Amino acid sequence: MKGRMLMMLTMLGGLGLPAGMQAQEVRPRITLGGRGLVSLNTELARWRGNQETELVNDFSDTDLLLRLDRKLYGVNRGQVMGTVLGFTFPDADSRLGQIYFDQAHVFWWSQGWEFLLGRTRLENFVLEFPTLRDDDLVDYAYVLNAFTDAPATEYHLYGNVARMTFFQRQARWMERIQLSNLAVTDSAGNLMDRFGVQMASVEIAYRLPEPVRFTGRIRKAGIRYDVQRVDDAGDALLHAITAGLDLNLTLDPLANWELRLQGSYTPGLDAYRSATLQQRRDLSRVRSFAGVVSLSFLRSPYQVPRLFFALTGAYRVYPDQNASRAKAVAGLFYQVGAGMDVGLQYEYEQVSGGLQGLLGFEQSHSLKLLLAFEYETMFNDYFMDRETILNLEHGYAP
Amino acid sequence: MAGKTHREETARVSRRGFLQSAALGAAGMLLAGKLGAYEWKTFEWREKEEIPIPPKEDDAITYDREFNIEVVTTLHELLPGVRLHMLTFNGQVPGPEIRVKEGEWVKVNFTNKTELLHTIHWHGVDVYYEHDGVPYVTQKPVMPGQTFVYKFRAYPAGTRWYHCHFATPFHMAHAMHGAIIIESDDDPIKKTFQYSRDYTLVLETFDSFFLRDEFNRMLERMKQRIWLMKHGKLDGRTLAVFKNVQEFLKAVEEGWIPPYLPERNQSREGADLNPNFFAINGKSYPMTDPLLIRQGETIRVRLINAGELIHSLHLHGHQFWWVAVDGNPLPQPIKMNTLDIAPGQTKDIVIEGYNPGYWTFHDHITTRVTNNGIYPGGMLTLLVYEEMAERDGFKPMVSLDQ
Repeated sequence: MKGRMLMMLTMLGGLGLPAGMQAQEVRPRITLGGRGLVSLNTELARWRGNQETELVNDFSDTDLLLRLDRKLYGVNRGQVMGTVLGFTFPDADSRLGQIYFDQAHVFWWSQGWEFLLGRTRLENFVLEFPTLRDDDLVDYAYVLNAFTDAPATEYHLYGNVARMTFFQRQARWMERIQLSNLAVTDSAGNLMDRFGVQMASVEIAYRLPEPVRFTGRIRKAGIRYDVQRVDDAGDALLHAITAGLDLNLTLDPLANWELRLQGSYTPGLDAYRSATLQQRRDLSRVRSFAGVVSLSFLRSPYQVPRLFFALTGAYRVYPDQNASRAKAVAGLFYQVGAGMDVGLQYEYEQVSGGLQGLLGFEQSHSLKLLLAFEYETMFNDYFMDRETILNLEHGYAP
Repeated sequence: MAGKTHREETARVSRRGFLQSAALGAAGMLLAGKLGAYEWKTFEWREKEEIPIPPKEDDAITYDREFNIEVVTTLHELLPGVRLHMLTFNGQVPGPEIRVKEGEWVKVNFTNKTELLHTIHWHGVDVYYEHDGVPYVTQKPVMPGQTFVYKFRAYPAGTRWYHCHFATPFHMAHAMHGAIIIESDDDPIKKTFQYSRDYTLVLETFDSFFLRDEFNRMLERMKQRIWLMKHGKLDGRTLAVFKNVQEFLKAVEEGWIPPYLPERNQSREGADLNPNFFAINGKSYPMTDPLLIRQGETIRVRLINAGELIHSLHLHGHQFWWVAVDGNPLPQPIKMNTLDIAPGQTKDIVIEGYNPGYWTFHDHITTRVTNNGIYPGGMLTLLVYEEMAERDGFKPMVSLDQ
């Protein structure tokens, strides 16, 4: 069956109109973006009286992104379709190889909706937290993929999705439904099943689009529900509910204080009610509560962002296993030029109970000295994105 | 000529005499002064003309005319399918035409209903300097929600115009422009040509991408600045406004980054206006309004270049008279069929209806007779003899892609 599906998809891929039937060339808008993210990490882990230190040159999360998109014809003039291809450099111990294709999708949007099909961020959280790398809080802020034992955090961050999002009231209200094909691996990280839908999600949120981010106290307030159907546990359903609140403590664009709060709960699988934590995937399958709180400050003298500070605390408890973990992250970043940062991030994590044996440490400290270069440039920029102030507040005309 | 004003002289020019002069052609033009058919002597009348110092308004003045102009954001349709967000006066492109008599006292209540800053500059009108509309030079910009009352005596007569002078390349290149026509009973052009219809064509260029991007950038920045203003936190350096050059230099020494430096702004859009739509009175061909004329009729056409480019306007099948520049009558009308008009200029022409038909009138820099690069379109309209359709039933078709 899977073989037939692949063949059909291949045939469909070959059904593009022959050159002679194409209309005159309409060049796509081209967006090239990405970041170079390199840090010197000093890491120290303690367990059972032993102490282990490491000095790592870490360029993971360095990525490159290419987006191509065009406007549609006729009555669909207000609609846009495009594709994104991107790759990132995964962690050295992820067993994913030199690069990982984190983005390979096609999207289609209009004023009130967006459809996305393909590989992208799972967005299995309500809020993103201001840490150096995307996976710094993966065990606290994300709904974890219950189908992998692999060390690669990419399997929790990315997946193949069919996502429909609706927007109302100047895109301040958002509802999303998503079906996700997650990475299913064995403990060695080998992919076991490339097909099927492992997770379904719904989210509803009130949010301030980015161009108007300082115009209200509530930057985002949302709640989401994710359910994973775990076939190796008797097709049991693994539920998770996550709620988040992102507040502008000050509306001052020159000195903005922001508070993020997120809490999540998963009741776990019945089969894992009294299980001991033996594999990484058990962490997603047992009952747990998690909370993350972050206070950040952005100083933008003369409306030019220069200094960013964030203090984040995260906690997750596994009550049935009498285990818990907590993490504190403090980051200080200084923008030395447009999109160019130097920074310092300190992380402290403490685990207790059965988690110590699984993760191999009781406490860990990490100090990261960062150089980052972010960029985004557009070519043939001939239409306007949905979430611009003009499109949001003055009539939709992309 | 000594002792006579320009107007007294021009009033003597008869219609018959003018046509005789025209018939003489180039030689006749050279001899015109001697023949007495057209005796507009520039230097003499300028020396004799009484040029008043523009008066400042005071409480004793009774205003003859009052206008309300609001600047708003409008989604304007240049062409079917081409809708652009524009800053407009009273929601229309171009802004409302103001017609007043020379010497009348005019009051314009200008209200800013956008989140950006604006002024109005009365281009070619001799106003008292505080009402000239140059932000930070003659007045503070009009803030969101504020009303500023412009007061001036309408002088001198002629085809003038007005536009926003804040962020001029951006706001003027939007649709913040309009005509102000100052009429005079002594108008030599009217007396000479006895035209029966009077058209105003505002010539416009739009870089739809620049307008859109810059507009969004400004709105995002200004939403933040409005908050800072309300809370007394908006300083000169954030606004990039300084009391004098010394203050500016001091700020740079202290680490303030001027916005023109490439390390802060390398988008190039600000410097790269590259219009892709061209319009007359807010519409691109084929949506432009035609000029209507009848055989034997004479019409006046006031051209105002409110855009960023020079245009070279050509009328098919006719020689027209160029009669005024920047609102001021020429010393001598000039017969031509192609007329250049620079940004900011106004030029008036008179067309005599002697060759019935449908005649295109367009920018002869033909890249501007396009819509987003597709010919024909843009700055093109028709001179239409109203009786033509009645006579043979032919009507021009609409072609959009040649």
